[in-house]
Amino acid sequence: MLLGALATVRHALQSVARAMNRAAGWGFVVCSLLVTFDVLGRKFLGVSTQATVELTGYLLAFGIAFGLAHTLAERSHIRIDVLVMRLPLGLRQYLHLAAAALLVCLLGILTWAAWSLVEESHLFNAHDTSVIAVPMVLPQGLWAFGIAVMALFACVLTLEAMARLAVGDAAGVERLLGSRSLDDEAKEALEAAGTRTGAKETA
Amino acid sequence: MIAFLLVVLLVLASTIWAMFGGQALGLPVGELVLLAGLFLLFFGAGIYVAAALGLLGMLIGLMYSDRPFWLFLGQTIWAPSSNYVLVAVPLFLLMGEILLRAGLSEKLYRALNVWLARLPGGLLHTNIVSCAVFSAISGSSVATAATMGSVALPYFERTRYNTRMVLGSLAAGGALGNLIPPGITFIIYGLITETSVGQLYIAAVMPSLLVTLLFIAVILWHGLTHGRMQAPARLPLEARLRSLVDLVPTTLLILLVLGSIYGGLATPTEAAALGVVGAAIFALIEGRFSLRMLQDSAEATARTTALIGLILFGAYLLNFVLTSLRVPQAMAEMVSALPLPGWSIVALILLFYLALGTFMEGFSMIITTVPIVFPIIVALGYDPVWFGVVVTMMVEIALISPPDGTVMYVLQGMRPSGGPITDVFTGVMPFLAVYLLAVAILLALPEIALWLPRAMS
Repeated sequence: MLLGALATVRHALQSVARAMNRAAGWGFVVCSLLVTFDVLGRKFLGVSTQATVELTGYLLAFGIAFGLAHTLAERSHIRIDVLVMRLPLGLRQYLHLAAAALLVCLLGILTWAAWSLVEESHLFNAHDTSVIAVPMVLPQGLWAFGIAVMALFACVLTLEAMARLAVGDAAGVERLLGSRSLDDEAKEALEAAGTRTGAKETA
Repeated sequence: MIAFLLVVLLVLASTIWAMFGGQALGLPVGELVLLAGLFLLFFGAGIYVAAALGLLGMLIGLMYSDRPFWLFLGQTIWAPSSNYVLVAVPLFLLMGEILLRAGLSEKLYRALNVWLARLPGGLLHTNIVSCAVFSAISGSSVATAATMGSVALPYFERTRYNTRMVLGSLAAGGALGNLIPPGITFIIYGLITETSVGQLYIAAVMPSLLVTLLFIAVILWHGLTHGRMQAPARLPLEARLRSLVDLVPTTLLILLVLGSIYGGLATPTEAAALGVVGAAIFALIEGRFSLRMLQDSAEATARTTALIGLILFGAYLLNFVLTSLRVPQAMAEMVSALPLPGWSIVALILLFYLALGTFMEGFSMIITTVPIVFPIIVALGYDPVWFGVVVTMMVEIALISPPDGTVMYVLQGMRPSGGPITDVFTGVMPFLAVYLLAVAILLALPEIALWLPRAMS
């Protein structure tokens, strides 16, 4: 019952996170176009946006923050698991859970810190020094939102893992939190390069 | 396993030594011991690297800092998030992802093959050289190995080439990806240490040539001792010249990206943006460009950037607290006061990196260690640019040091007829050895890295 509800929430958040990651990616495409136009414009037309440094910085902050939750859903955030993966599953699931819980702690701090910065910028009505004088709450707000979504997602993930642990579903915990094996990573690089995988075994 | 124990031992040794020797110098011994112990516990237990770094920072701050450090945390993590230098990272990643899908690598390999296949060692040289050339347009080692491996491996089917050497040379070639400019490791190093990324790229030229030449020497030696492997018939000069046409797109991209940086026309960030547009244009010419492909590339870029970003958040939190407690400065003073020659301390640090690299991945290695190690290196009188090159080499070595190197698993996954992963491990060993030799040479002759930046300024 509870487990089902948590899984539903997680799936919903995963779709949100996927869409946010897509937005982050397109942000980087925009970023490269912006910089290219700026370079070419300066060189050949003598014009410049005069705000490229600021704007691309904001796009980076946006990109990092909006990609965070999806990267967690894809289990790509980095853990050092050489020791963990050698332990039996029964023990491993507790370590997965501990890692997730500590990640929630970190994200709590990050969200709080990011949000305080937004409030501060709002309080002082801070603008950047570029020609278009962007109010800092805009980029910082989006950035803080991205971090907050990851925090929320990590919370739900941890709760679901706890629920699964309670009903003795160790394999489920591993599916939720176990880090991607090098195999998965390799497979992804290969798919991108457009080759079929011929691996039979890696041990 | 052995590596992990070695790290534990090194940390323990330095801790004990800090307790006895450090007290007299008024060092924050408490922080150091706590930090080292918790670090090992967290990392060993598989805590996310970012969480381990950030939470340790908070803990140490709460215990030892008498200032309200938490008031500055927002600004501390906003600074790297919106840093213009760091913008180059997702842009180079995006360029690499597009090139990965653009099919440029096939032409490159075919064309180089025409010229290199008759050397002793044959096609193996093509592996190294094509990886080296591809590295000059891509900043990622894994992408380099994946791209060139997918093209190269089918060539070796049903030949008498030693499978291990084939896989080893491709892995080694992949490990040039970050060392040959433009590499992403240099950008992150530049960001953390406030070193000029352009200078790092110039300094990396000679060392990357050195490593490439050493790789070629390994293959020549292998070729000469194992006899010629089906050397193909000599092609007429006309056909060989015609093959050069296939090198044009790659050469143009290299000129665009590296030329604009070295010519002082563009910052690394600008060069990366030009590279993205250039890569997309070549994909368009090849008929491989589509919005779908661009979106796939962009999404993969966003994931990698987020992964780096989160570790940077954790590292900046920790670093902010440590710096406000003057820990790195104190450690640097202590180490430079030791009655040991500087090079031996650097050698110890590099050994530490070697051990770390067998189980830790490159980005986290750099982001975690450089803030602590860098002040020591500078206090010992070493050049920041030189150290950036050496550390990048150590990270590359990490990628091909068994048992945990992404590049090797990528290649394993591509083998058309399968086989044990130990083939890759054995094959990469001679290359790993000469890579380490190159680091030793750089340690003895720092001028190899530093001469070019000085000559160009």
